[in-house]
Amino acid sequence: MYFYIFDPGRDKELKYFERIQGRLLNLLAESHIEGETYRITAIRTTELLVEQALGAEAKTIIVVGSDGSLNRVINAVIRKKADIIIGFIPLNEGSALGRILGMAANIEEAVKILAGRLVRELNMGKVGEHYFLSQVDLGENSFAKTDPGVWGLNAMRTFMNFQAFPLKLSLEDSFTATSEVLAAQVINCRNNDGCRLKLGDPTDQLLDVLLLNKLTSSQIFRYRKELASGCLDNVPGSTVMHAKKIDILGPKKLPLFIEGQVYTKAPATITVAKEKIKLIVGKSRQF
Amino acid sequence: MAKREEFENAAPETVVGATVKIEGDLVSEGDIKVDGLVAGKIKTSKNLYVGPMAKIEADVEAANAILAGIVQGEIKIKDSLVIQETGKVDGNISCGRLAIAEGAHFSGTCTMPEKESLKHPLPEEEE
Repeated sequence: MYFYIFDPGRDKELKYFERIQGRLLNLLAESHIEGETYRITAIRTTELLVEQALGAEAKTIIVVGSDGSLNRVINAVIRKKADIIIGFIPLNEGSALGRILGMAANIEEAVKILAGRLVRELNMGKVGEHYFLSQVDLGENSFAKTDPGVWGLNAMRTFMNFQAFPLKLSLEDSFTATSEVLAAQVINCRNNDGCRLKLGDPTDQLLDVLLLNKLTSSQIFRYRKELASGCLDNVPGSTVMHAKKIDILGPKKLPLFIEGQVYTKAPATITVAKEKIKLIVGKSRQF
Repeated sequence: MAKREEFENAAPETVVGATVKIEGDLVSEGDIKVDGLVAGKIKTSKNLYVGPMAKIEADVEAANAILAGIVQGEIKIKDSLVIQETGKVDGNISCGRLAIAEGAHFSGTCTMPEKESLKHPLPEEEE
């Protein structure tokens, strides 16, 4: 049985959701993958709905919402130690996880992919008690894919305000790496569109560490488009390392973000989780 | 022989940027490119490229290596080792093939396994 969890989320996604809801339910019925559908509210939380799905012996949970919605459902499923397949219909066209998993934001395509049931077992990253599929951003300087604006000047103004910080990491308990960086990421998987390197294979049992060196104002100006691409590796001189276990040793109280939300602060340990997750993926997936 | 362009174009799996300092054992199963500082040990079963601004105070093991920066330590290279004109090596080398560019600095000993063809000279032709 399919169990649908709808998370309309923010205003933009909510409007889109209201518009497509009827069409989506028809498409699910046409593809014979209809099931019970529930909407997340303040009272009916993700955790409660996952519990309800498991109680109803659902074989598949389909998350209709944002990357954050999928992340919360994955966490709830792993905490329940449930052997269940998860699918995802991204409501946001810019969904990074949608692109990584090969799930189109176009609902007709997404429903076809779900009906195809191509399932892959993927590694998860773990920071503290929290699991993540995508990446952890270390520090507040966010280099998400942004519209660079005319001549890349909008993005550049934002980047100019970022402060570099001294980062200290320990990898595999084997070596320490210290550097003053403008940004740092620990990646389990990422949207590699427009990136120089293909990083973040969620099947390789490794996390990729990406560090962006401190840049001068003239370097920020020069590489403004590369920075706006969200791929730190597009800037020459970036550091790339790989490990199963990464200790963030400092600076103390450095916030660690997942999907734009702070989950913990340094010192913290990020590992490849023992637990894996079964996800429905499309043929255009990036791994 | 490994070429510098090959390293730069092939996107090595591990890259240590110019501002990064590593202390301990840097072990990888893929190519490594170092532009920063490494103290301890570097080991890879593939290729190592040490950039002109890099400083290595470490024992090094790799299949092939191009050294364009400063390296202090024991160097064991299975196949080809190239010390470029900006390279400065202080330490003993063991490698299959060696090339040292004019202007490079090398202080230490070098041992190379004897080639099979030299071990067994061709039999003399019978008259």
